[in-house]
Amino acid sequence: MFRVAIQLLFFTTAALLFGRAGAVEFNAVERELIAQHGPWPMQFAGDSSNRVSENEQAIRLGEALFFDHELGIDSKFSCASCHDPGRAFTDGLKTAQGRVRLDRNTPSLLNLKANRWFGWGGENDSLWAQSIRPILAADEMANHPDHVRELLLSRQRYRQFYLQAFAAEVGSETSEKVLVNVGKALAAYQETLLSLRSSFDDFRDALLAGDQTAMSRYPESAQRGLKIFIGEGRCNLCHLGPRFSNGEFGDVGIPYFTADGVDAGRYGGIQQVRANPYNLLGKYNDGDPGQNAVSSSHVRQTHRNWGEFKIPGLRAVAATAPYMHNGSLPTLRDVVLHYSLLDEERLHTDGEKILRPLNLSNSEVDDLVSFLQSLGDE
Amino acid sequence: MIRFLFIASLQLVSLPLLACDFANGERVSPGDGLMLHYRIKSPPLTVAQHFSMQFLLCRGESVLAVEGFKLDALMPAHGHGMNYKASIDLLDDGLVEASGMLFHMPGQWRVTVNLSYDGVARQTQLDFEI
Repeated sequence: MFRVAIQLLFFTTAALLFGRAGAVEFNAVERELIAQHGPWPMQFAGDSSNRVSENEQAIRLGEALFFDHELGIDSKFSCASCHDPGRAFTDGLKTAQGRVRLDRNTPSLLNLKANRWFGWGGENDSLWAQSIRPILAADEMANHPDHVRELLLSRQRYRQFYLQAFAAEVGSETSEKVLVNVGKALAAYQETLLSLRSSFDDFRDALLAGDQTAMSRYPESAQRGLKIFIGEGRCNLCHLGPRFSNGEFGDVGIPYFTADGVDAGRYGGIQQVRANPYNLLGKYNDGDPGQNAVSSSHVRQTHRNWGEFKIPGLRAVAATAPYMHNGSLPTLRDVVLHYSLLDEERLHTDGEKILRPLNLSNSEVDDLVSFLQSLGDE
Repeated sequence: MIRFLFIASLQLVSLPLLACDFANGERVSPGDGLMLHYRIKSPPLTVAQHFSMQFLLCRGESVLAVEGFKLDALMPAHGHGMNYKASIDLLDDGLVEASGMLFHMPGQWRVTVNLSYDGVARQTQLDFEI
């Protein structure tokens, strides 16, 4: 009896000292790493290359155009056809379905504001240029600048929004100018698409504040997964900051062969952005290229860019399946297993040397998945 | 006489407009009695954010005119470099500015500087933990 009482006293004392039985402990270094993934929502600067960034009338014009099937040449596609708001602005498909089946997975449009590169290969250096791309792409909306201008001219509401946002009549502008401004209005709308706070954010803030009660509401499996994410998994070397991405590109051993050949990934993306008349080094940049085109003017193309694709942000990631540039991994568990069982033979010899198989146990895989799920909207 | 000529040649390539010291800067010796002063232009250095660096090559209190300057960076532990190529400006007062740099991962970065002055080439390395 006395022995049982002593044991009870010991466990009670331990629970008081360490918060609660079974809770995951984070040391000072880990707390600092966790702190770097917030706060959320964070303050993003407007886009200086887009003079209607954060402009209310441009946002309304962009939103209306985003859902307008007439923006496609034959009224078959709107932006929302692939970027479904009910699916975190993705389509749920392995690869996008345009006029033909495309080679890449449709990325989410959440949290794009203040990104450096857009598209899996970083084919564009602004959100407005990225918004022009599918309008003109033959396999997607297949439209023409003249038709886009005619669409705006045909709608009183569009003409009004355009005049208020750009201080110009649609009818007085060239087709190309209208197209660029449509891209800028679409970008202004997409900049408003931010994911909500998640249970991870509540945990992070509680951890920093030392609020044990609030911390206890975060599942222990997610806490263990977080510990792996910032620890032995080293996932945070690329998936860093409040957005869980460094905005750059990596080769993580996903095949880049397509039905027709190869997807050049970042290598092709750099070629495209340099050749694009709508890049930030061109005449449609509304700001100072010396300030807002630093990435575009300094980007370096190397052989290792083959097989590299954009490192996506992870907020709301549970809602954006399937995963990777080619949609080849159906679930988050498949993604974690990919890194756990990584085939190093598929990596570039001159590529990233931090990648090696994590060899996670089943419960560790579950924990990492639980953590990733906790980055979703509440 | 020889000593006089040597001192005179040093004065020819010296640029006395800037003091050989940076506030909040660091320094490294590339050898030959030289000192390379350097600093981040707009600290703090932040992962995945562009930044610029400034350099002054000095001998004693004299700023030397750099004729050639190249710079690159890599992560020794990861085996990759920067995704961006720094642009170099040699300014009239001896100041060298490298812009467009970006460290896209946390960890140790090694910046290698190759410079030349008065027909002499030197290499030195600077380590950053970010």
